[in-house]
Formats: sequence, structure tokens, C-alpha cells
Amino acid sequence: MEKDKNPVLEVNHLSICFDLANGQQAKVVEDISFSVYKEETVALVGESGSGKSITSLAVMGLLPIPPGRITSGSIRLNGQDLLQMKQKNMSSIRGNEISMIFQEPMTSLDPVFKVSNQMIEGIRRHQAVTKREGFAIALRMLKEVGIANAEKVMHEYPHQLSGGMRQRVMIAMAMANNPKLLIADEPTTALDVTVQAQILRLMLKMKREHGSAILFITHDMGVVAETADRVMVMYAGQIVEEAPVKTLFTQPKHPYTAALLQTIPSLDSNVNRLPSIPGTVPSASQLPNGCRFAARCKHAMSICSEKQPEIMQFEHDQQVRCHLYTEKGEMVSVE
Amino acid sequence: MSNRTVLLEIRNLKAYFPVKRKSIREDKKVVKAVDDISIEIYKGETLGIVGESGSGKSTLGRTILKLIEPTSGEILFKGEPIQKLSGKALQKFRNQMQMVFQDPFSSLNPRMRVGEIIEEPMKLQLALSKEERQTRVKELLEKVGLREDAMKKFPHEFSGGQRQRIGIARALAINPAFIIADEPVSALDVSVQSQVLNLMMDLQDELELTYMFISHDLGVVKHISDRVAVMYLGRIVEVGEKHALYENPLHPYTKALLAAIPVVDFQEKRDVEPLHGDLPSPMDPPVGCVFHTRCPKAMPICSEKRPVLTKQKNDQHVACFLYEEGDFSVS
Repeated sequence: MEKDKNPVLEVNHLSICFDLANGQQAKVVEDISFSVYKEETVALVGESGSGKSITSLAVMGLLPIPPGRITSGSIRLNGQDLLQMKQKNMSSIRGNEISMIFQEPMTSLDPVFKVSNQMIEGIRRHQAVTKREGFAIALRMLKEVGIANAEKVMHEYPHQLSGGMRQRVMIAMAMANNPKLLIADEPTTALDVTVQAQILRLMLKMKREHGSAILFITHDMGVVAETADRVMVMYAGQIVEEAPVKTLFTQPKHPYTAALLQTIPSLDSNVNRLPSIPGTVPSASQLPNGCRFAARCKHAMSICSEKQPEIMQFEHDQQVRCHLYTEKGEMVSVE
Repeated sequence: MSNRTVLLEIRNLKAYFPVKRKSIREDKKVVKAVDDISIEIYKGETLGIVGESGSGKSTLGRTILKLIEPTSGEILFKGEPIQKLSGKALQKFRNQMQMVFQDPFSSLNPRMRVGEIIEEPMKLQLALSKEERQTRVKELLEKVGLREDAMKKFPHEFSGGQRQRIGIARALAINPAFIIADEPVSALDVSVQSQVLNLMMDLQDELELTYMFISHDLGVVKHISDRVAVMYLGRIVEVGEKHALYENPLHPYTKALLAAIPVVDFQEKRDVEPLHGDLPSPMDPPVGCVFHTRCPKAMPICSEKRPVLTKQKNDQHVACFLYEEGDFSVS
């Protein structure tokens, strides 16, 4: 990736915490920094509770505040700091320069409006067009996302469509205003594999044609390998590893990444028992002092439970947050 | 595995559901959720059932457990037909089969303590004293890798993976011979998913269980199963030993399904055209082969006649006109 260009999205040292009812604080996202460049697909991978969806909501300006609180950091879209922006200006950016595709297309479409009305509303909010022109744009978008009988679908309600169709409508809506950044939060998790393959193809095609950047949030490593250019692995609110997709899969540096890759049952492996990671993700209100993965890590050393590891830079744009490399040098194998 | 004993035999099983009509003049319509399925499950094996949502795989599982009354067909458990069973006899049959459900959040009663949840099936099915039941609950918790003090806790105090372990302990409570697991790991994160899969495999070895493992995840099914059946719109389109099926899929649907799975492979970038369209409505399935509307190899005969499962090499069965008996020339 050419790094000399300015990134579309730049997140710097972002920390988010939630104030809980019992007076405790849950640090759901801590000190994460990343950039997304034009025409690039960046995947944010992690298990549930790792903070990946909260990060995307913060970028969209949709974080529930309170109880959520952004304690530090900045989010810049083409240089503009979104966190300093007024609510009114933010809503002209949301859905226009950044749009989002959600996991469950049934709950993110309004059940009482026809597809046409929902789409025209989104288009007219950001473009100065008449209803009729809006209808034409919406129809063109539906055809672009591969809906064969677009005219009919325009007049239908979301419940009349299948899951794959609804997700296509969502993508058409999200792309209608030519966003610079598309955030896709588990867009295919609720879909069957054959439909998932169609939707993933479609998203990459839309990215190429519209020149947008995609921030792809998922937990499926197979999907990551097929779509992403760069991958960030999140664990308990921190980015523990970041690397170009091929490097991450062939030379994972963080023990969590390595373990995650091994636990996936693949089609061409013939092992009897899968390697598994013992234990569960620590709760965001009771985080350990040292490395957050230490309790489940098979390479854990004494320092891991005492001190937080710092981010370390490697060649090929790989970054890792792990003590192994500061303590034992760079030639450690985590296989 | 030549002298396998059949534990469960399903013959021409059908489960149809009537659909509410809009007016009395409309034709009566039925959803054919399970349409003429015949399959055998051998003792000690894991039979994987894969298919997309709406293919009828969960209905098949529920019909076998008699949670849904079949429209027609026979289910033989250890050679005994189970449709006619009722009362005491049905109870007796039920304690040999159990189910593990998909959603570990809604399948455990939030107002019962974990100890009570696991104990409840024993109260109904086994003649044990209270002390004996308590000891057994402790044994079971240990078996599924939970601590003894879990007994006194409520389900909400556990994570998804731990709850699924509780669900498995409950299923094991009455010493069943056969367990139907309906998407038991799809609600779990990958790192926890492998823990639960390993647990299920360990328990199978230890207790000589027979599993029917229903899932939409082909990777998971391949990992845990001995044989795999692929379902499409209420019918089994292909069934075979897992290695044969995954390495040499015969039915065009199985091929498409396998090709659609995203894989981690940077050596060869595949560019397979994905299947077009969605699953047709089961209310109005295509005439002839149910897959012909999406099949890249459809022939005229496919929309006229319905193919039946025919035996191919390696004990692989496929329902497709591309393969007439003993003909492997087409691939």
C-alpha cells in the first residue's frame, strides 16, 4: 500500500470507556490507532466483546453517550476531526461520506416503509434531487447490486425480501451517496455460504467501481483472507497485531493470532482434535494489569502479568503488542 | 467398519406443514420441510447434516425426536418403530435420545439454578434418590469441564461456551445413546467453539454416543463427522463418508457449497462463480430436481423428473441425473 497518500480514516490513540451502573468503568477500547487508505479493505477481527463494533460505532458517531465516553484520542476523516464536530455537521457526513452496513439486515431496515421510500429518504438527505430523480438513483443502485427485478423490489417491504436481498438493499443504500468510507459490521454473518459469496463479491465490486475504502468488521478468518488487504486483530479492547493479510496468515507474530488461526476447523485439515484456547476473554470491567491475553497464552512469561506490552514495529508493516519480542528478540516462533 | 449396527433408521420420512390460506378458494398449500428422506445412522458414528437455512435440517432433527409429528414415513430406533409409541413406552424411548440446542442463552431456564437444570431430566426419567441425583450432577459438571460450585449459580453467570457445556451436561443426564446437536457451536466464538467440539468428541469416545450433528458450517461438520449428508429444500441430495464427500463432491450443489466457503489460501486464488439466486420457497418448490433452478449443469430432464439417491463408489450416494448408476464419467 502506498503510505505517502493521506489516509481516508485516521484513528489515533482512541480510548472508549463505559460507566457502569455500579460505579465501575469498563474500558472497552484502549489506545487504538489505525488508518484506512483509499480503495483499501481493512479487516478488524476479534471475538465478541473485543471492542470491534464499538470502534466502528465511534467512527460513525453513533456511540451511546452516556454511558459511553471517549476518554482520549481523535478520529479523522480526510483530515477533519470527527470528535470535535457538531452533531449537525456530523449528520451530514454520516450516510454521505461514511456509511455503514449492519449485520442483521432485517433490523436495520425500517419494516413499515417500502424499499423505495427508505432509499429515496437517504438519497434526498444528502443530494439536492427531486423525489423522481431520487427514485431513479435508487433504482439504478438496486440494479447495480444485482437485483434482477429491481422495479418490483422498489415497491416491496423488507419482510417480503430474503436475507440476501435485504443485505443487497442495505449495500445499495449505503453506496447510493458514494461514500469515501464504508464500514461493514459482520455483513455476511447472518447469511448462508452461497449467498455470502455473492455479497462479498458484490462489496469488492462496489469498492472498485466507487473507489471507496472499506473497514470490514468480522470474526471469520476465511472471509478476511478472501477480502482484506490489511488485517487488525483486536483482543479485549486493544489491537494486538496488525499486518498485511498475507503476512498475518503466513507469519502471525502474536500468540493470540497464531492460536486463532489454528482453532478454525478447515476443510483440508485432518486433525483429530482441534487446538483450542483455554479460558475466555476477560471482562472489560476487570482487566488484568499486564498483557490481556497472558492468562490464556501458552508462551506467557512472568513479565506478561506485570506490565502491558508496547506496540512493536516489524518489517512489512507488521505491528505486534507482545512481550515475547522485546524479551527474546525478533526470531520467535509462536506456532 | 464393515459390521456396523444400525442404531436409527429413517424410511421415507415426510414432515409437511399446512400454510394458512388467504381465501377459501385458494388451493391448499403445504410447506414440505422434510420431503421423503431415508437414511441410516450407525451406532457410535457422527452423522453431519449440512444445508442452508430453510433446507429442513432442524425439522429433520426435531421429527426424529418426535417433537414434530411426521406426516408419513417410518423411524426405527434399534429396529423398533417409534411412531406408535405413547405414554410409558414413549418415555422409555425418549430417555435414549437427547438434544443440544443452538442458542445457549434461550435454551436454559434463567430462573433455575444450573444444578436444577441438569437434575430435572433425571427426576422425570430415572428412579434415583435425591442424593444420587446430586452426585450425578456433580459428576456431569466435572465431565463437561465445569466446577462443582456451578450447581448453585444461575445461567446468566456463565459465558456462551460454558452455557453450552451446561446444555451438554443436561443432555447427558439420563445416559442417552443418541444425541441430536442442532447447531451447537454456531453462537460461539471460534476459540470457544473448538473447546466445545473437542468436548463433544471426548464424550463420544468415553460414553460411546451416537451423534447427529446439524450445522451450516461445513468446516465444523467435516471436523466432527464420520459421514455427512447434504440437504437442499427438504431433501438429501448427497450423502457419503466425509473424506469422499469433501474431496470428490458429486452433486453440483455440494460442489457449489464447498466452493463458496472462504478459505485461507494465498497460493491459488480461486475465482469460482458463486451460485446465483436464493433458495426457492419451500412452499412452492421447483418441479423435478429441486436444485435445477440454480444448477449450472441443469438438463431438460431435471425439470421433469425427480432424481433419487443412487449409490456411487465409496458408499457415496447422490441424487442427480448427471450420475446414472455406475457412471463416473461426468464430473
